[in-house]
Order: sequence, then C-alpha cells, then structure tokens
Amino acid sequence: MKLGIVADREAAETYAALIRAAGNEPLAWSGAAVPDGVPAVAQFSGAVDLWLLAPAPDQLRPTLDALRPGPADRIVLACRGFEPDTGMRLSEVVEAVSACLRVGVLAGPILPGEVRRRSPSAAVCASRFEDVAETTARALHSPLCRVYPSADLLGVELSGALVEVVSAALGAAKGLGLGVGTQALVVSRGIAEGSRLAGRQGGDARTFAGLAGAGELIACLGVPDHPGLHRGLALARGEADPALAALCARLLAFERDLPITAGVLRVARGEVRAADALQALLARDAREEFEG
Amino acid sequence: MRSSLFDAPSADAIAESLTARARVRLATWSDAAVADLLADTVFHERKRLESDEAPEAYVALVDRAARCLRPLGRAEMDAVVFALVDAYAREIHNPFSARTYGFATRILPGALTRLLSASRGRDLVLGDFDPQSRILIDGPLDHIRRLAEKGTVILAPTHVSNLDSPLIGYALYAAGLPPFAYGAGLNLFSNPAMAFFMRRLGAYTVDRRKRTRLYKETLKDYSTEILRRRTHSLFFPGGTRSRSGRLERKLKKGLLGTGLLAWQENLREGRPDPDVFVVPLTLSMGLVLEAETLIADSLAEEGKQRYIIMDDEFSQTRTIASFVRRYLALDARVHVVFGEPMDVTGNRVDAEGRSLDPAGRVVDRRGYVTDRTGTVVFDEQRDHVYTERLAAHLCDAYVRDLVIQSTHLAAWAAWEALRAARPGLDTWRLVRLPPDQRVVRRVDVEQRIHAALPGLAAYRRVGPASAPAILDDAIRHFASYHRKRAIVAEGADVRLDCELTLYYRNRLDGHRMTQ
Repeated sequence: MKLGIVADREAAETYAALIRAAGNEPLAWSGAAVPDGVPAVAQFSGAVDLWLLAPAPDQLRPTLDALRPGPADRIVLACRGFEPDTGMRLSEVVEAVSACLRVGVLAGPILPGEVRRRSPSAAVCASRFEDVAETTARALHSPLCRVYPSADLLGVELSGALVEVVSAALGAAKGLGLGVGTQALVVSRGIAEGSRLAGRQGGDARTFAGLAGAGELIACLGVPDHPGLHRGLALARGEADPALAALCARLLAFERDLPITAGVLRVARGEVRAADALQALLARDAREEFEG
Repeated sequence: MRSSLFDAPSADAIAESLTARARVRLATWSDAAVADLLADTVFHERKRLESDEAPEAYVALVDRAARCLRPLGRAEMDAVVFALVDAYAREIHNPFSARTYGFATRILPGALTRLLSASRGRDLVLGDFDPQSRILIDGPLDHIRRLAEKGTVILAPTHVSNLDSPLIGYALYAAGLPPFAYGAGLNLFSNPAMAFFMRRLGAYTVDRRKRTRLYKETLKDYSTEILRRRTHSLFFPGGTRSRSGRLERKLKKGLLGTGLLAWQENLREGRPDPDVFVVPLTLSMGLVLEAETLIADSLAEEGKQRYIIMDDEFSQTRTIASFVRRYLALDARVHVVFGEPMDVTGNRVDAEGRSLDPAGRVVDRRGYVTDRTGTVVFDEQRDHVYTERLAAHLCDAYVRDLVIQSTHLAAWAAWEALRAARPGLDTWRLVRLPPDQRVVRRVDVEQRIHAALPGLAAYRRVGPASAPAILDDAIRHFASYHRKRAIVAEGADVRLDCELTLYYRNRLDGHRMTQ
C-alpha cells in the first residue's frame, strides 16, 4: 500500500517510519518536507491509496487547493483544531473545497522522539467511512504503533481541539508551581469536559477518555517540550495568546458548559492572571463527578 | 422526450428480475439468516392478516412460510422466499399505459380548469381558472430536461398533502418533463377511477402495512430495477406527509439509496447511459388541506404509530373541492420549485450531467465507487454515508427553495409573540393554553414580522411588503378554509388557534429567523 505524506519534516519522518514499519510505502509531496529516502511526488491522485495530511490548520485549505483531491481519494488528517478564519472543523474544510468525501482524522500520542527510539505508541483513526478507518489502520498498524478505528469523527476532532486547551491549562498549572495532584485534577476534569462536549454535540461521550483525549494529555505530562505545556507556561507568565483564545471561543460556541476552557479563554485574552483563573475554578461548587 | 415508462416491462419480467436479485442475495446467506427472514415475514404478516384482507393464494404462501420455520431444508425455505418475492413484485408493479398517458395529458389542463371553476358551491367565486397562472413552476427546467435525456432522474419532493401528487403530475407535464414512476400508498388505490388512472400513469403500489424485511427489500429492489431500466422515479424522501408542518429534515435513506445502487450496477454492466441524477422539488402553498388533522396527529402521543391516516380531509371529496375553490378564490398561488440537480452523492451537476466540486470544477464521480483499476466496488456502509450526504443536501435545498408565504411568516411571528408572553412554557403547554390566554398583541406580531424581513431577503418569499399587510394577508387566508382559524384579528389583539399556528409556523423551523 502506498501512502502520501504532507507534513513538516519531523512529522513526515515519523509517519514515514510508521508506514514502513507496517510494511507499506511512504511517498512525500514535493510541495512540503521530503524526508531522506522517501520518494517525492508532485501529485497524489491516482498514485497513492491514502493521503496523510498534517499541515497547520490555516494551511489545510491552500494545501488542498494545490493537491486537488477528488472522488477516488482518501484523506486522513493528522492535524487538529479548527480552521482559524472560518471556525470550521478540518474535515469540513476538505468537503468544502474538494470533491473528496472519504475523510478521516488521526489522533493520539504519537511522539517523534519515541518513534525514533522504537518505543511503541498508539492512535485512533476516526471516519464515517469504515473503509477509511480500516485502510489507515492497515497503513500504520504494526508492533511500533497500534491504530484503533473509530466511527466518531466529530468526537475525535473535538477532542483534538480540546486537548490543546487542556494541555495549556496543565502547562499553566506547572508554571504556577502546582503539584501532580493539581495536574491530575486538570486532566480528570478535562476528560469530563471533553465527554460533555462530544456527547452534547452528537459525538460519543467516551471518545475523550480514549487516545484522542486522555491519551494525549497523559503523554503531554511526560514530555517537557510539549507545545501545549509551553503555551501554558507562557500563560502562567502573564503572556496573552490570541490563537489559543480563538480556539477556546470556538469550543465554547459549541458548548458553553466548559469551565476549564472558559478559564483558559480569559487568561489567553489577558483578562485575568492564570492564578486568579485557577482560584475562580476552584471556588466553584463541586457537582456529581459524572454529571452529564 | 421519452421515458422508459413507455417501454415498461411486464409484471412477469419484473417478477423474474426481482426474484433473480433475491436469488443472488440469498446465495450468500446462512440457513439461519433465511429462517430469520421468513420468521419476520410470518410474524408481521400473520398479525396484519388478522385485520386486513388478502388473496387466498397469499395467505397460503404465508402459511407455507410458517411451515418452513420447522426445519424443512434450505431448498424449501428459498423456494418460499422466491414465491413471496414473486407475489410482492406482481403487487407492486403496475403496467404503464402510453394510451392512458396520452389521453390524460390531452385532457388534463382542460379538466383541471373545469374541475376548479365548476359552479358547485354557494361559496364559489371563481371565474375561469388558468392553471398556468395559479401553479407557478420555477427552477432550472432546461437543465433537468437535458439530464432526463442523458440519464435517469429521481425527483425528491417535499410532502405536506395528498394533493401533492396530482400537483406534481401537472407540474411535470407543464414543465415538459416525461412521466415519472412513483410509489403510491395502497389506500390511494381504493377509489376505482383514481386507481385506474394511477395504475396506468406510472404509480407503483406501496403497501405500508406490510412491515416485513422481505417486503421492504423487494420494494428497494423494485426501485433499483426500474431506475436501472431508465425509468425516471419520484420518491417522497420524508416517507410520508409532514405531520408537524416542518420541512423534511430526516429523510428515509432506503429508497433514496437505490439511485446510488442503480448507478453502480449500470457502471458495472457498462451500460451506455448509466447516470442517475437527483432533483429536489419544493412545494409551497399558503394553506394545507389536511393541516388540522396532521398537526393534531403530530401532537398526539400515538402520532408516531399512525403512519397511514385514512380519515383525514383528503378522504372527503367535497372537502378537497371546497379547499381548492376557496384557496384559489384568494388569488393564491402554489409554487413548485425544481432545485439544482445533483449526482447520487449530493454534488451539483452541470448541464452535461458532469459532477462538479465546490469550486465548480468537473470531477470524475466514478472514483467514489471504483478501485484504482476502475472496477466497481460495492460497499453498503460507504454508500450509506454517501446517501446521508445526499439527504442533507436535499434538506438544504428544501430550505433554500421554499417560497415563504404570509401564513408561514405571520404564524411564526404570532407563535414567537405567544412564547415571549408566556416564558417558561414548552411547546406542549403553549398548545394546551386555555382559550382566554391564546391572545397576543397585534403590534407584537407585526414587530416580529418587521424584524424578520431583512433576514428573509436571502430566501424566496411572496406576499405583501409591509408587516401589517403580511399579517392581514395571512388572516384573510386563514379565514378562508379551516374550521378553526390559526389567527383571528380582535381589535388591537390577535387570537390564535395554537395548534394551527404551530403547524404553519413550523414551516420556517429550518430558516435563520431574526427575532
């Protein structure tokens, strides 16, 4: 099976390694990073069985405009968040700009450093098309990386976006010098928040407790240079983060009952200090742990 | 333009085709799966036959199926399944008559004129009725006519009234489109004269009381088969008349998906005109004949169970005639809007029948269903997702193409005014308000209409321009036909019949309304 990769160099090398470990052949788009030893191609249509795209969310549309996927193609998005200008989910962007309908999302704690050390990891691939989720699993699944198929495309996409926010909250907690108990509190209430978000939007409430949510959060705790943690450390130092604020606002447009996200939004906008936001969260009445 | 209805197959040929399909399907089934299918048939049909009449031969067939439930061997089970399919196929299929069609199209406009302008009632105010001035047809008709020559067209209309079918029949004729096959409920064949014409004008019989899997599969096979034979078909994708008055939002995917299947089978067989196109059709009228019964049914707990209403306003010929005369006396028009044609996955298609991506570029849609070698790959789960997308695009088209009438807008505004005046009450409690509380200030209603008008510029709308005139127009319409009036003027107030107001208000449920 041939897979086309569009990603930055580190991610492209990581996916190429996983694809080879699963006995398949990686190809890289000549318009993006081409890892050593990976053949470059100018077009994917007709040349590959599956496209693995991991551009930054604001680069997805131009990438698709250049690559022009069509009805015969299958795309898996390994990027997360929303398109900044429109607030659309990234799978929606694919359908809005192309005739490609068979779209999936890959999420989970696949860490380049660990793949290089050949430490096993795992991810979930969600698509409304069983064929896409199963093809992705066949493309990447090996002793080096387990890939679990899922039908909950919406849940996995929302989880990917919320992980950015909760990992920033974790970074802020670390930046404030708080201990592992506080970090566990943020992770577990983040999971509750993710379940509520996905469940009320028509996704599967369990999804955030899986690899796309809890898996990512647990992994970020052990990675000192995790980008989410870095953002949180900056928040703790009092730096505003407009992009993170926009992400929070988009999530809150889906679901208002997201206390951590609402707190991060105020800090990212520079309206309150991280310590004050934390105090405000802690001052809330406790409710049933698994309230819907 | 010729429809393949003119070359319609015989009942024997259809029965043979559908039995062959069943044979292919059963070849991959286990004995237990076939036994399950028969058990389902016996259970539902015996229950139905307790109250319904059926030919002796059919009752005997169900008894034969029941005997199979004791292990009699696979051959006998298969034989019973094929015999049932054969019986269903012959019941579903009706032979189209080119002679009757020619006769009907010659007399239709004149008959419609005479029917609707005949002096039968004291309340008659009509002079000469001209269908062309009262039934307004809009949409890309040249485009659709062209597609009907290039491939097979599925017409997917909204459905509020049993009057929709004759209305669509007229619209197809007036638009210069060929006749379409359509599924008609068995209850509509009860009138012998009506049945005579329906059978010969493309109607196939759908018995909604038969709830067995085998019957539903046979019906889907029938639809696939006639589409494959290039018979243009009409489905009401909502399945039944909208009880609540809302535009269809959840469509039945079973029949809708037969277009995708027929296209794939045509591709696999290398047929010269394999394509199937889907055209949304949105009907808009200011009043609905059966509104009172439908909304009552929607609100009633048993509403969900009552799939076939036999005793509504449509069952009374005098009521239909009265409705039509009174409606037309209002100088009211029925709007029939043909929407943008799509392929079977929901992409727009150009005049040549080629699929377009969102940027308007031509794409090869065969890639949706073929592998890299170009071989058609059947995949039920994949096709279900494609059909869901098609359904979503149809629902969007219904909202886009609805012609908003004064009755919809006034009912929406009146309902919102009532809701604002009674905060905290849900729909059910509002509907059950005592009569003395069903009053809102006229000015509140007008203000809400006025505030909504700029937002409605994005949609189709007819009627007066100002809010007071829109409300008056609606009140005049509501006064013309229903036993109860949705909105009645009472000095500075308006009094509502909450059920009817809700019914007409619901038509705008999918629109972005400015409060």
